[in-house]
Amino acid sequence: MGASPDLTGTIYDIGYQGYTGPRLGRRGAIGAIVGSGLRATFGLGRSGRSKVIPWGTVVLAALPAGVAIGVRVLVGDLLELYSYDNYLWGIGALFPIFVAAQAPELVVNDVRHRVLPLYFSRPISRIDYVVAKLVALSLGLLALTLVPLLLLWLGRILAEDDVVGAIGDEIGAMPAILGNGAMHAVVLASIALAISSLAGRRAYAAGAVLALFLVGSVVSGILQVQGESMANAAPFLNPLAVLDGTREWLFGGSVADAPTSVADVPLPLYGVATIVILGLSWAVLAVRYRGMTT
Amino acid sequence: MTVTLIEITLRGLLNRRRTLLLVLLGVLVVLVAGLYRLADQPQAEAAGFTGALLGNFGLGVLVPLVAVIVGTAALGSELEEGTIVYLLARPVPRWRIVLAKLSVSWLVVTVLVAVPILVAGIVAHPGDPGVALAYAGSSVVAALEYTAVFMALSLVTSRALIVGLAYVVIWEGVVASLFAGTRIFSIRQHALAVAEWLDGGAVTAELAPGVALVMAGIVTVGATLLAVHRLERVELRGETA
Repeated sequence: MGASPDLTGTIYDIGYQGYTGPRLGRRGAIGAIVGSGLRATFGLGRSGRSKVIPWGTVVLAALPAGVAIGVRVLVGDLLELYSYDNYLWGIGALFPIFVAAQAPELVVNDVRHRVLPLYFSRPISRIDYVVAKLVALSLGLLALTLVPLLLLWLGRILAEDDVVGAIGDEIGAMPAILGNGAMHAVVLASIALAISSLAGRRAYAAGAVLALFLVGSVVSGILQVQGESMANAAPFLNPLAVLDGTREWLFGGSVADAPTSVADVPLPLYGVATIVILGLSWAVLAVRYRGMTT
Repeated sequence: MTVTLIEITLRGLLNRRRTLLLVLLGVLVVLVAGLYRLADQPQAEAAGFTGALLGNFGLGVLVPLVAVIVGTAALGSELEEGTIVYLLARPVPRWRIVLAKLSVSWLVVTVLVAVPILVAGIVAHPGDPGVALAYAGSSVVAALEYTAVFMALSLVTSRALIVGLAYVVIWEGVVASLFAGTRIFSIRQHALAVAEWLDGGAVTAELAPGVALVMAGIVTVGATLLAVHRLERVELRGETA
């Protein structure tokens, strides 16, 4: 059918232009995922309700440090509530709550709302995406695993009359504080993201992460008091106990009420267990996202 | 109609991957008990272990986790997917819908928690099946109370599963174990008290069984009434159908 001459349309120039600005490339894309992931971790730019759990746990995590500093200022050296060694074990109950609430925020909806192709249309690989999400959650977790200890460190120094001398006394604890904070953050983030990546909805992901830590700590707590062979197996069922054992292996300092102090196993075994946990989590993430096209 | 209602609720609750996961959680309790027996521990300590396993893992983790997932899904998934409209459009009083859904969920939760608790208790301590029976019996009471609370929750908020999980971890797990005064409002403590009452002393609980049973009754009836009230306020509009 031939086009009739009086029906010819007009093509308007509405000013389509090529993008001439800087192209940030792979590094920029990864940085953007980390940035938005960090914002999601703390519920920034979202409703007040989604800020309750992340900020609530951050405040609760720092609370013992504040109390310990207060006691030190008022009472002096008489009693030591929290040391650098037992702090992370003491606030351990907060970690599962934080990661169970926030890890699903990072990964579940990308799959559920089928927006992953938008990520992968950028110059990033599947692994880049996973690494960026891991970095984001790990950095967020540092607010619980590192910041309170830095506060405690700072408080202990400022409470002394001789500040310069106190820095000299306390600086030796710094590698352990930084190392433990980073190790706890990365391992907890890996476990939580691996589980969340398998769930179809955020609520189920949160339930699965919580269930793992709850079951692990409860079973570990039961076995801990059941004689030698059981007590030796107990710490390895609880990820937080494995982390505490690894901390003791790397930096020393036993925690009285932890399952690791009841168990009689060589400390390097905890390091091996931590590596196994990390390897498993990363393998799950790699396999889950390798074939992801939807 | 009630039979159909029960049937579709059962099908909705059971035909999912999550039921398999919940069964696995129960299997885990039995597995821990089995490992304990295989390790050939002294008989004298078996009672303490069984109490800790059934009380902390069974009543403390298994029952609330199963109940929060089943209880919020029974009505919550129908609300979320919009299929509640077809139910409400029927000439069935809404209290009957709530009661039917609650009974079915209670049944499902009971099967998923009481059976593993009973089996695990007998495996861990064959000498005294009374303890296993007491915990299994109290888990039936706890299943009803938890399910009623979580069903009401699913009608109050659309994020019932998250809120329910937070309640289980923060209230039942942390607050009720630290602040003795809040125990009267803790479903887990109600269940422990019932277990003590059923067993006649081998289990130690913080609450008196009478108080616990009365509180459990008040909470269950209150939650059910709240659920009925909320469901009666759901309005059918033309465009939602």
